[in-house]
Amino acid sequence: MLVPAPGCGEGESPYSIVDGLHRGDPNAASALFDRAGERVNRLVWRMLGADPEHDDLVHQVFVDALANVHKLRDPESLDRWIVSITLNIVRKELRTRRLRRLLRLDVEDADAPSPELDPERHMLARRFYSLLEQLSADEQIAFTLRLLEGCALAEVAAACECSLATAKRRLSRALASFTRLAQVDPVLSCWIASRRHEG
Amino acid sequence: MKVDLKAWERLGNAVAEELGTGPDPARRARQRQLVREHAFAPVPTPWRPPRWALAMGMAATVALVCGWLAMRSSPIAFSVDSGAAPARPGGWLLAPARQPLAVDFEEGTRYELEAGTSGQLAEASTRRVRFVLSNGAVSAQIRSKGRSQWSVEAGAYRVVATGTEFTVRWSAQKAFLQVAVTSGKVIVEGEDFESGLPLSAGHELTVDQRTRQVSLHTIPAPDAPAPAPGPDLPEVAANPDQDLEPAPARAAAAKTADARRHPKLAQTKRMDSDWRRLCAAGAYAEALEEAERDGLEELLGSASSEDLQLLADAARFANEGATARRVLQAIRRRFPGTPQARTSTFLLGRLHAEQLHDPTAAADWFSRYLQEDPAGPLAEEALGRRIDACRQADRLAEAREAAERYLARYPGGIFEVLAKDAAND
Repeated sequence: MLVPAPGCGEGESPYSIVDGLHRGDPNAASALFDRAGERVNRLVWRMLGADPEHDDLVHQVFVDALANVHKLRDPESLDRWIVSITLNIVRKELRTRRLRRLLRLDVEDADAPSPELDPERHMLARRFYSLLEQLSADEQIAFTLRLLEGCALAEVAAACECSLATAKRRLSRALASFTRLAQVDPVLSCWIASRRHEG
Repeated sequence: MKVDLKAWERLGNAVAEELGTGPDPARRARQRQLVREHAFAPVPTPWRPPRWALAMGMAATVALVCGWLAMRSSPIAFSVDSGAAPARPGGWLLAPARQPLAVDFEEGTRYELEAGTSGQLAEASTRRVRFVLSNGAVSAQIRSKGRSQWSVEAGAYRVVATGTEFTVRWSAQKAFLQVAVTSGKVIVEGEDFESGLPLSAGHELTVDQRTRQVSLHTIPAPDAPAPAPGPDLPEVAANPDQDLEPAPARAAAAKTADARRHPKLAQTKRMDSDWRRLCAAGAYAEALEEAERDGLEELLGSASSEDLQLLADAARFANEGATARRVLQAIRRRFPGTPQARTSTFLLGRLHAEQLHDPTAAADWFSRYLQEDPAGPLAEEALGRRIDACRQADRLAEAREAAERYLARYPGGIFEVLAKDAAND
């Protein structure tokens, strides 16, 4: 589940956190991290594939949240609001990287930080992300939420702040594009072929 | 290939499992601390200039951009051998076997190619002058007024300079680089110097990719007294391939000379071979090219089993089935009876099934794996894939027999559906 049901979140209640943030209490900032840090880390980690700039992006989420907490009207929606900020940051980052790649300003990073527990799965993950970055930012987010986070379509729509129809459209396009790209990718096509007998 | 959502969900699960859920607790603790420290730091209010200043700024920017565009790719004039040879940007230059060749640019800059040197003046504009050194040595005297960026590229390295005098020597055969600066400063860029290594006058850098040695020496100034005999810097030779040898005597001289290790070089850990690095980056086709350039036969005969496995993976993922087969067979030949050899047997089966489209050979390799390692970690998969390969090769009786064995040994296994199908053929 992307966002816990109301009343089920970890640590302090959203009301006391938001109230503390309004008062400028640093303990409230820590409490916000304790409540949302794991979720933010997981989302950024999986959206960008254990990226070298992971920590900076996570920090940016909390900086934005603290700077804009005055705009949060309903403390009950704190968790959903943080997810929304996280996805906005990720979306912006994906768009910037896409532009840098188009302008050939980007430098390819040689090493991925994830450990090589299983070389073949490590290669699989690398190929997955290298194909993913060929989709648009919105499609990437929808695709990753659906496939890596296991979100239902309604959750994807809520997280992306779009209608169900739009979420469905983005996901369909993402699936079609990814399938087309995977067909000519040796690692992914081998992986799929080797598992075509699974029910 | 038609793929349904379930298949991608399985892929997503595999990737998610590989990635995990985030960085380790120490990193998260650090994130938390930073959030707390910067929680309510004042954000400076951005200053906004008045409108008239904005308009003037825009006009100035437009003028600058137009000027920049006009200057950007204006060609720079140069002559080769004082006009005796044609001067074409992008053209190849070859110095005669027994005499140097000079390239003179406007503003007084000169590149002098040593006898026998070859290279390409890849770009010659007011923005940049790039010389790509194939083999030999080029000495540069830069008299630029700062308009152009002057660079010499040699192998995986680039030497960038303004207003300086330096010599770059490169032997492609020996994979040996030497950069000596007599005046001014250069920056050496390349895979070993990620953010660029500055070299100032009086210093010489050598990089030997074969022995993985990188070192920095001081060189005497041109008007300094003649150095005392002994372990000083070796003389620069006329024929780069013959004499630019990192011989033991030279290496010893380098060690006992006034050699100072730059902090960036002080690590001197073994440089990873290019092909391994390319593998790690997922650039399999390039890794294979690099390994072939290094000498594939030699690698097959001398590399460790781990390296050969890495090479085999690269070849498989780059869809170079024939090369992958050679590497896997080398593992079996050189490391018989080891787990790596047995895994290679299995992978030869997959290779023949998936890339070489030879189900008969695939079935035989899976069969061989089952003989070599009947209770091995890949036994179930080998038997399941053998069923598939036998069917593809129209060896239906064998497929049925394998299917019955599979169903008896692995009830509910991943190939159960296939096995039941084959058993009923």
